[in-house]
Amino acid sequence: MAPAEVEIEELGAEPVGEEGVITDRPWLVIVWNDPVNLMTYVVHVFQKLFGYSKQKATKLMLEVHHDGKSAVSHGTRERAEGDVARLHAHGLWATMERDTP
Amino acid sequence: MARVRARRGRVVVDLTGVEVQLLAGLGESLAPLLDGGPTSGVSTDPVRDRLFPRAYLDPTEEHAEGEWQSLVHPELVAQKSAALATLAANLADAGAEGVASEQSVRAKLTASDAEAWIMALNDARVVLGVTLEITDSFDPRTLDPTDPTQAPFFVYDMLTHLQGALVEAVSG
Repeated sequence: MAPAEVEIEELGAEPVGEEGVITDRPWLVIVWNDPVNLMTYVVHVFQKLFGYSKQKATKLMLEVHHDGKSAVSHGTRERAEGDVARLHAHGLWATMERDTP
Repeated sequence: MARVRARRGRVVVDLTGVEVQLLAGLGESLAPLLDGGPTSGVSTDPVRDRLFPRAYLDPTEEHAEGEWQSLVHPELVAQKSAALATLAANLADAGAEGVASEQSVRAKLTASDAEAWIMALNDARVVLGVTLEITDSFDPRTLDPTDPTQAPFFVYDMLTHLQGALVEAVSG
């Protein structure tokens, strides 16, 4: 019997499982540095949207601030799309991309 | 400058008449950007592009981007409009209508109202930030109050101060 999920390593190909369920490689949500967003506000948004501790939210904010960007969450394509929408609703500049193995 | 403090489950905001007049005008100035039309694939308006960015940077994901935009853009417009409406309603409740520049107004906000103010202020600052080309090195202390061309930078600074104070009050 074929395994339930078949991972295809080609770039851009979506693995299709036994019941036709499409399984993604994980997606990353990236938040980009922006001169407008207040550091305290960014921390507030990370805590509010992801339930992160103040410590973790601050660490991520500082990564955005110093490195220009940070991966703030990861998951399925659907989950990442939702996270990006929520971040945009809060005025942060966020995008999503496939996680590289 | 505005004074904000958390007090017995409410966020109390004391605003000068000048600040009230500015805040009251935000809805109107942002309205053209919240007309509901989704961004096209081609970037023609940097303000709109920053207010409603792409989710996917990968050009091979144009289909997913288009689907996401048609789903999400109307929701973002609705949320941003609602935040501005809350701001306007709170100001009206606080007796802000027709207030003179030298008067002051006190608004008592629920935590939820304060969140709406924070989001509306952030949107206003994002829009102004693109127009004024605000960078990380922007320093309001270098502004010249006698120079009328710098007025928009003072507005930006006022909005920044108010948003920061509100974030502090709700983060407690």
